[in-house]
Amino acid sequence: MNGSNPVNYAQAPVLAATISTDAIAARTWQAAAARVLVDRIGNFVAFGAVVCVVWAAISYALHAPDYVLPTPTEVAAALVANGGLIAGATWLTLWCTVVGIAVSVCIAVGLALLFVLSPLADRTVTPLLIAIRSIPMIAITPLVVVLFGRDRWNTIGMVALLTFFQVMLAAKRGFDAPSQSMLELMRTCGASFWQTLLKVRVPSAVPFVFTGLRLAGSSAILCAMFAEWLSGSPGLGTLMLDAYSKQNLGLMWAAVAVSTTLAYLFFTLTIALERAVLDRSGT
Amino acid sequence: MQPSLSHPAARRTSRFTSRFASFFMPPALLIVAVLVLAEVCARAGVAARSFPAPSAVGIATWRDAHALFEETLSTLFVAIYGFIAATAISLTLAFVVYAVRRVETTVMTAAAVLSSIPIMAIMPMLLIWMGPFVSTRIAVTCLICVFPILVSAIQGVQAVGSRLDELFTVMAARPLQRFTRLALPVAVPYLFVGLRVAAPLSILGALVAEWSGASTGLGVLMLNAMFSLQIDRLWSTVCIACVISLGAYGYVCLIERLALPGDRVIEGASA
Repeated sequence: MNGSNPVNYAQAPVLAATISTDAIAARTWQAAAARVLVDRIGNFVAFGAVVCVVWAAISYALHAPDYVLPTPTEVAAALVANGGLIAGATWLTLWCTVVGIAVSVCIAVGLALLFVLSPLADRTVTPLLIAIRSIPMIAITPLVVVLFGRDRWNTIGMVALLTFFQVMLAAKRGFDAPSQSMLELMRTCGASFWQTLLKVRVPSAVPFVFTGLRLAGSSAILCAMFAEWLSGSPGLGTLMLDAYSKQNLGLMWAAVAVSTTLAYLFFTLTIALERAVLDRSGT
Repeated sequence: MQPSLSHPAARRTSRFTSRFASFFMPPALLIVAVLVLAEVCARAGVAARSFPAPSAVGIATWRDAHALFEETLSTLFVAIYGFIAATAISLTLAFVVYAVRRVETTVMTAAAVLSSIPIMAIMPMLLIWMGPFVSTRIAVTCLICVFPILVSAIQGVQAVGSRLDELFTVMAARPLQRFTRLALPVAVPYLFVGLRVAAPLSILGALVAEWSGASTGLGVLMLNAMFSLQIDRLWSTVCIACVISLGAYGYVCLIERLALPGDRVIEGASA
């Protein structure tokens, strides 16, 4: 695709480590994405089983009191007993994360378009964006709590803020990716600005946006839980804090296990999506 | 053309300064414009209460300068030691993966799952297990930093070419020799990609550790300001946190530029 490859842009080490090479060799894009999913979930289940066995061995051998380390059976019992509570909290966290990402993608792609229209705006804002991107957004959670209030808007705002800069820079790079000769060809054929945009720039930007989403999505769920934990809006983060302050440690560990699984699955999903989109667009 | 500009060196300097100005002027002007706008809005009373005048934030920072400086030092102390510990752990694991190729998937899966654990949830348990000491905060920082460094270190040691590998086999190098003389030098540019990502994360780790129970540090000031709704103080602590995160990033970039010849630096997105 015009010699510009989103995989090169994202020379983030995570990519090479997480997308196994044999997945790339798979024939169709659906198969490749499914392969990534199955591989990663399989690894997760195997690792989880080993952790459970070791954990059980340690907790039975030490006879530790449950405020130090509860046994896996206690945690499983708490998970079953509080199933509805945990499921509700998980749903809320997931909902806020997805809405936050959707909001930030809309704004980010819109702004990136604006930068295609106006090189001056591009030169003004892009250096600032690159600098801001390297600030860990979770560090400013207390400020966001004050700005957005203690409702679920706070969680959504936090997730949006976290993903915004990554997606925005990726989209901008994608819109700029078509080669000069490609754009000149469109101009020669008498295409309008909007035709060039729809037929050339947007298709080339899609894979970049998904790469940006993967980079940001890895920590989106954790960020949502952080926001809940600090602001007290309902969700998994608050559930964990409440369970700890009531010393209901079985519930707390169950919530930790669920949230770890959720974060891992979400990350896996973004990787598989990126894989599917990259393969589909032939890069 | 003026005579002073006709000299090649002078022309080069002027071109350099004009390029410098055209790169830095627009963002700088934007920042100044935003600050002035915020100041005017706050003075006129149209801004929301959570947006104080920049001058008020500046005054609050100046008034608390001494306390802020000390707490920031305490946060930096935790961040630096956590960062160093994370680097040491990553290099050790990279050595294991380099010596025993088969464990790579296991190590990577374990690291990915561990990095998915919400830190604020296990922070109370860490406090129970390790006690309310600085070492607990360093451990949390280390936990947050370790994933990007580990991934890049493993990617680096796997970038060794097969011919060099064979040469070391022919020379009967021991695993440790092979690692320090061959794999590490090859891995350094890759390692720096991870270090660049982890540097701001180390500040974040120290702050998070302070949020969940500590008596000193910038994070404590931040939370106190948030709970007592001292908006100027909150803004000044958040600004300082952002500045030291950027400083950490810039510092690692600087060391990278000094340590590596320019063509070995790997540019790329941060994770």
